[in-house]
Amino acid sequence: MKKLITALAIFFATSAQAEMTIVNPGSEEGVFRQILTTIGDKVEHDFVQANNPVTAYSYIEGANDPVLTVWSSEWPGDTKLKSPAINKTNLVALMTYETMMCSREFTDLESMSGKDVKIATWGSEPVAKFLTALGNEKDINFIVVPFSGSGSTTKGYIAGDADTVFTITSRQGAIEEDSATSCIAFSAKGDLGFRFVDAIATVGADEKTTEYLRKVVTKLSATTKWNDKFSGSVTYVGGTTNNVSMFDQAVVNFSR
Amino acid sequence: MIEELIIWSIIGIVSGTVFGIIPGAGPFIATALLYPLLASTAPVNIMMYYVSVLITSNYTNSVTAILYGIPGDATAISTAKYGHRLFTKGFGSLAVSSNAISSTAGVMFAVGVFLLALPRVLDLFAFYNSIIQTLIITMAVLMITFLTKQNIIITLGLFLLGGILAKVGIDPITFDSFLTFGNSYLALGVPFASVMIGLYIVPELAKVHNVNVGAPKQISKFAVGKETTAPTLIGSFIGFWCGLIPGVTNILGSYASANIVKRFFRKPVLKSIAAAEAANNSGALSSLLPLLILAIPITGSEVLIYYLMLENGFQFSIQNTVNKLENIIYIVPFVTIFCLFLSWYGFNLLGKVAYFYKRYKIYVNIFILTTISTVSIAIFPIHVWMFVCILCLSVLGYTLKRWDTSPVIYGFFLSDLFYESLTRTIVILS
Repeated sequence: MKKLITALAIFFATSAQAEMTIVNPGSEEGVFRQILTTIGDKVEHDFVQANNPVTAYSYIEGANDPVLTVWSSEWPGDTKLKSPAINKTNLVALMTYETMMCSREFTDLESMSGKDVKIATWGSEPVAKFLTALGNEKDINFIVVPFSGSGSTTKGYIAGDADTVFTITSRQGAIEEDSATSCIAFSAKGDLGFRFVDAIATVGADEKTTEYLRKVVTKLSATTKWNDKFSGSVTYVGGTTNNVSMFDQAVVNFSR
Repeated sequence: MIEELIIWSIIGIVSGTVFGIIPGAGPFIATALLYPLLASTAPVNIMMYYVSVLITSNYTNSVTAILYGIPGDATAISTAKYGHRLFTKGFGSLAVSSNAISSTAGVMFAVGVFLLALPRVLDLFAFYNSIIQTLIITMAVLMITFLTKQNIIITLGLFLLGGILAKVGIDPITFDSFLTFGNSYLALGVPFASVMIGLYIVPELAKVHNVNVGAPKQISKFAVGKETTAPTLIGSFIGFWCGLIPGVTNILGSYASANIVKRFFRKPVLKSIAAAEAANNSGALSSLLPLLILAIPITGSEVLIYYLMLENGFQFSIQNTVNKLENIIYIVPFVTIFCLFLSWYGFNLLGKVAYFYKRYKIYVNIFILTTISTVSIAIFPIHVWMFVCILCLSVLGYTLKRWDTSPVIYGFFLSDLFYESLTRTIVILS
């Protein structure tokens, strides 16, 4: 019954036969949709707007055509979610978002030691886990003031909901509009052991299709438009001998 | 440069006129449809287009609201409620004039504050923390519940129904399911357009109006009394602040303004329209501040604009906003004045349609409902799910026709936001 419903949903959601189905597990307005539609401009496809990874997985599972999707490395660790298998064969590219910690109260991580620190950041479990681990290591009691995304986190920090913020580096400009703020730790410099990683991957596609998509992303990620649009992120295309350790680590993370 | 800005402004006005009238469409659908075209132009033109769409759609979404009691979007519910009442009593001209002038005043107020606040805009954001947000939303919830003519329990029940419908689906942060029963469609959540159509428009259309529709008169002069000045200013002020709240923006502003005026002013019907419309337009423009200064889009259509501008190399900051977008500010008054005449003259034209409405009310209502539903189904990615939602909620809406169902819409928007703000407030105050 479930398969029938899924098949019907895909049928109604699409108007014409195409060689590939793009499934967006993010919102209609989010960055995942932007990534997928930018790639989608270069390949013939049907588009399924799933809105969330739970629904996206059911579409991916029931699809007859090869699927292209974006999957967050935060999701496989969540027991409520099923994730598609992501490995070196079907990984098209990785997009990494470096993180940072900024504060108007503290000048470095050491000065937080032994204190309760209210921190504006995502309310998600992986971020909470990371902060707990960092807190244990540095003797800091982080109290998360939870937000739903980097935009609302930044706005909350500027409004004074917390005097410290943990977010992605693309928000640095906005955060430093507040002259009392200094950014004190960065994942890119090795101060923080957490960055957001999104995988652009195929499911049920042959090697040729995945390779073609890698070429598309290679071309796109070299353009100014792509880099302006996804500023603060770095795109690493798979299937090469570069950044092997990063891909190995990503595959481990996506296999949790 | 200036010629291009004017052209994009005209494109924005045309889009805003068309998509403002279609419930559930608005600036998001207008921008999504023009995305490829917008992607090929400069950021300053994109912003000019967007400001024009915002302003125009806020004028035109009130036309169907006043004529048929059908709001173009959730921000026009107060206008639909009070404006349509005036219209059916033969005072449509007053409703239209008040709508047009107060909307214009709201835009002017927002532009003025925008210019004044820009040098110290961070102080503006600093004021607006989670505690203040929670207080404002609490006040709104209390107003919805207690400033109602119908039974408080019924109102509260309808508000909670809206909250529950908004919660159906998968939580985007925790991935917890709520009332999905393992069904893929329910996991998508209940689309807002279906709630608006099924639980607001259907019960409104199903209500039997005992009052005859008065013949629409040509609007040859602005029949706005002095008494609307204060409500307009109140609306502009409240709307400006509410425009900064992610998620609800000017929806909350128009509702709160209309109800405050209704509570504290004598003969409040016309004044409520003035307050709601001023709040609407003021809030639509103030919601641009977080986007332009902090690169934080707070509505769906702003997200599209954000990506379009980023893609075209725009760096969001106070400096860039001042340097590159200052020309837009000077064109806004012309757009506003154009809209003023558009809504005024346009209403005269649409007013003639009202004769047919009077004679063929049932057929016209069915036609409107079918058109709105068809457009909503066509623009939603999973067509069958939108169809099912509209159908089910329309049946439910029909059974609720004896009550004012607008609390459902506010519950849909406010309950989640209230919960999130309250959670943060508890952490902050702990």
